[in-house]
Amino acid sequence: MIRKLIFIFIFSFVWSSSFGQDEVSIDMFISPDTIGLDGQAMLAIVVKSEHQNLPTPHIPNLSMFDVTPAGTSTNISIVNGAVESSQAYNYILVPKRQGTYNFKPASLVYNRKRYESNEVMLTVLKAGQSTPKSIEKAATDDRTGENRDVFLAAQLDKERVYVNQQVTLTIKFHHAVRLLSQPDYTPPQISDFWSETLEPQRSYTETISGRRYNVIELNTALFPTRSGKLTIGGAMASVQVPDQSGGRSRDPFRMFDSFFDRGVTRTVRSQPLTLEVLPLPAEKKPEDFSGTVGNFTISAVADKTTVEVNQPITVTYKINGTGNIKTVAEPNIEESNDFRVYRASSDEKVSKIQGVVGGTKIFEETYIPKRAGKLVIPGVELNFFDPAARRYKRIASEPITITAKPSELGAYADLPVPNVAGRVIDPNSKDIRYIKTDPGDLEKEQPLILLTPLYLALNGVPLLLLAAVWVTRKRQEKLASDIGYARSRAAKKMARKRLAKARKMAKSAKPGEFYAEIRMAMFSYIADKLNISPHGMTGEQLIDIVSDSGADETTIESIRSLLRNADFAQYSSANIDAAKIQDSLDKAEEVLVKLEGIKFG
Amino acid sequence: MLISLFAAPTFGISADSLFSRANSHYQNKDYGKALDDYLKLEDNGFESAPLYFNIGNCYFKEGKPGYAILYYLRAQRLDPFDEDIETNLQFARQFMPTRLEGVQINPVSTFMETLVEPFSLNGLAWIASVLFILFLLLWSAKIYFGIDNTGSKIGLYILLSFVVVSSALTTYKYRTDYLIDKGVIVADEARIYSGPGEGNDIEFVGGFGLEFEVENESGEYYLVTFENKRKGWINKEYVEII
Repeated sequence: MIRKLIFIFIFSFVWSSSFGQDEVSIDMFISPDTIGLDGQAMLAIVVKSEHQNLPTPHIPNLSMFDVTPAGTSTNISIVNGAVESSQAYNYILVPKRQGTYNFKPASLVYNRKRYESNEVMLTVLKAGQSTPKSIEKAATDDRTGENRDVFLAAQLDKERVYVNQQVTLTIKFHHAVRLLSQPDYTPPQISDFWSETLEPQRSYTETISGRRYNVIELNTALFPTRSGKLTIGGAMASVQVPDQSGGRSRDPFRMFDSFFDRGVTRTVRSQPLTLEVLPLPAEKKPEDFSGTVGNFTISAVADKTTVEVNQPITVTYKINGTGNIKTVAEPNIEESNDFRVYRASSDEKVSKIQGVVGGTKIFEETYIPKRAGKLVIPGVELNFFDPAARRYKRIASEPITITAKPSELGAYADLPVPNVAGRVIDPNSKDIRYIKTDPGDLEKEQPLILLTPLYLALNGVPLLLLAAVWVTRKRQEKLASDIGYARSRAAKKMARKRLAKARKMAKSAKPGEFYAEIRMAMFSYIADKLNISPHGMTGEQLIDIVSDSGADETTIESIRSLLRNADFAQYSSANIDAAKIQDSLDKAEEVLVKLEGIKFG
Repeated sequence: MLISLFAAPTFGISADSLFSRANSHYQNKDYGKALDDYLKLEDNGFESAPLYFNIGNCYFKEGKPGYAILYYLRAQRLDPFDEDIETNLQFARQFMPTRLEGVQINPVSTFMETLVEPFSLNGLAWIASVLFILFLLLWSAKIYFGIDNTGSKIGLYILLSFVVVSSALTTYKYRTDYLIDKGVIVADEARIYSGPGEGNDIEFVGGFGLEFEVENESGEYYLVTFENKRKGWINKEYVEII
C-alpha cells in the first residue's frame, strides 16, 4: 500500500512538474509529395502533448481526393521526467484530378486555445507518372540503364519569369543505399541572381521506378537580375557509400565486413538548368519606377497627431508584401512648406512563408511642423510591377492630418537659458530647432593637403617642365639665329665625329687619309670656335691662335707634332707604322680635350 | 589610443549607430545621455556639421548656451549655408548678456568671406592647383610649339587671372581658418585684463558668446582681439577655440 502511494506521489509529481507548460504541437506530413493520378499518398497529422485524451484534429479541406482513414498510432515517452504522448492520425489520399494542391493547416482546439499545423503541398501528375521526368532521367544510369544508388536532381518551379520575380530552385539528393558520411554539398553557380535560402531542408522517401529512395530536399528562392536566357549551373555532392564492388560472397563471415566498411566516395552532379527571363514591359512603365517587383501594400502611422510647432512627429512607413523585399527602394519624401523632413531609420524583415519570399520594410521619417494649424502629411507613393497581374501598380499611404499648436506658455518659460532683462526675443522663434537625424559625412578630420609632399610635387613638376621647355626653346632660337654660336656649340661634336672617322681610317692602312682627317679635325674645331673658314688656314696660324688663347706648351707642342706627322704622311711615300698612327690618334684626342677647356675669341 | 579603444570589440557600435542612439536619448529628452554619446564621437576624431549642431542643441537644453554657441560656430564652419545652424546660433545669441559696441563691419573681409564660404580649404587648394597646372601646361605648349597669336595670349592671361584669384582665396581661407585661431567665451562671465594675469587692470568683463581672434598667448592666458577691436588678456579656462 505504501509503495503504491509512493508511486502515485512520484507519478503525480512528475506529471505536475510539467503542468503549466503550454505544450501542444501539431505537425502535418505528406509522403510522397508527388504522385501519379493512379497513385496514392499518405497524409499524417501528429499531435504531441504531455496531456492525453486530446480531441481529434480537424483535417483541412481534401475535396479533391478520396480520403480513407488509415488508423491512428500512439506513442508515449518519458524524457528527463517529462511525459510526452504523440498521436498520429493517418489518411490515404487518392487524387481525382491532376494538379498541385496546397493543404491548409490542420487544427485543434484545446483548453480554449487553437493550435495549427504547418501547410503541405502535393503534386499529382498524370497516370503512370509518379515523379517528374527530369528526376526519373537523373535516377537512371545512361550506361547500364539501372537505377543509381545516389543522384542529385534539380528543378525550377517556373520556366519563364520576369526580371526580379521569384523562381524556386529545388535540389534533391536521393540515396537508395546507406550513407557512410554526411554529404559534402556544393551549391550551383547562380551569378545572375539574388538568392534566399528557403528553410528548413526537408527529408522524406520517394519511390522512383520501383526503387525506394531517401530524399533530402533544399529549396532556394532566386531573383534574376537581368533578362535573357540564364543558366543555373549544376550542384554537386560527394558522399561515402558502401563498396558493393565485391559482389556476393559465400563467406559466412562477410556480413561482419560491413562494420569495418570504409566505403567508396561517390560524387554526383545535377544537370544545369535554363531559365527564360523576360524584361519588364516598357509599355505603361512609370517614369519614376524603381525596379520593385512583387505585390505590396503600404501604410503610414504617426506616433502622435497633436504636437507643438518645432517639435517632432515620427511617421513609420511599412511596405509589406511578397517579392524581393530587399530591393524595395525608400519612398521619396520631399520637404514641404509645412514641414521640415528628416530621415530617421530604416529596417527590413524578410519572411519565407510556404516557400514564398516576402517581408516588411520599415522607414521612419521625422516631420517637424513649421507653423501652427491643421497640417497634412501627404501620402507616400510606391510603384511596383506585379508579375501575377502582369502590370504596373501604384499605391499610396493615407495622408495624415496633424494639429500643430503654437506654444501656449509665456514665451520662453520652458527654456533652460535665462532671458536677459529688457531684451526682446524674436517672437517668431520660441525655441531652438530640432536636432539633425542624419549624421551627414561623419568621418575623421581630414588633414590639410596644402603642405603635403604630394601637393607640392604636383605643383612643382609642371613648373620644372615649363623651365625646361623655356630653356630648350631659347637655345633653339639662338642656334637658329646666331651662326657663330651654333658653330661654336657644334664644334666639339664635329671634331669628335672626325676623330671617329679617323679611328676607322687608322685600321685601313691609309695614313695619308688618316692624318688628313686629324688635321681637318683640329683646323675645323678652331674655325668653328672662331666662326671663320678652316680653308686657307695654315698650321702656323693655328698654332698662333691656340697660343694666343692661353693653351699650355704641351698642348701646342702636341699640335705641332700632329701637324708635322700629317705633313710627313701627306708628302712622303714612306710607310708609317700602326703604333705611330695609334699614338697620333691618342694625341689628337688629348689635344681636343685640352682645347675644350680653352675659351677662344 | 582613444581611436583604438573606440574600435575595440567591447564597444561594438559603429559611429552611425552611436549617433542614432544619441538621437534617441535626445528625443526622450535625456539631453545629458545624448550629449555623452555625441561627445564620444567627437573625442574619437569624428566630425560633421550635424554632429556639432546636435551637440550645440544638447548644451543649450542643458542650460550652457556658451558651449551651444561654440558648437553652432563649429558646425557653421563645416556647413556655412545650413539654415538650421544659423537659426539656432542667432537664437542662442539672443541670450548673450554682453553685446559689443562699436563693431565695424569690414566690407572687404565680408566680401572675401562670402567668396570662400562655400568651399573647404582642401577644395580651394585643389581648384587652385588644377588651374595652376593647366596654366603651366598651356604656357609650356605655347612655348614649345611656338604659338604666338593674340588669342593664345588672351587665353593665357585669363587663365593666369583665375590662378591668381584662386590662389588668393586659398591663401585667405588658410589664413583665416587655420593660421588665425578664433575663439568664443563659453563661461557665463570672463574678465579681460590688460596683461596676462589677475594682477593686471581689468579692461572689461565679457559674457558667453563673445567671439575673438587669438593674437598671442602667455601661460594660461590668451591675448585676444574682439570684433570691436578691443584687446585684452583672457584666461584660457573661460574660452574655447572654434
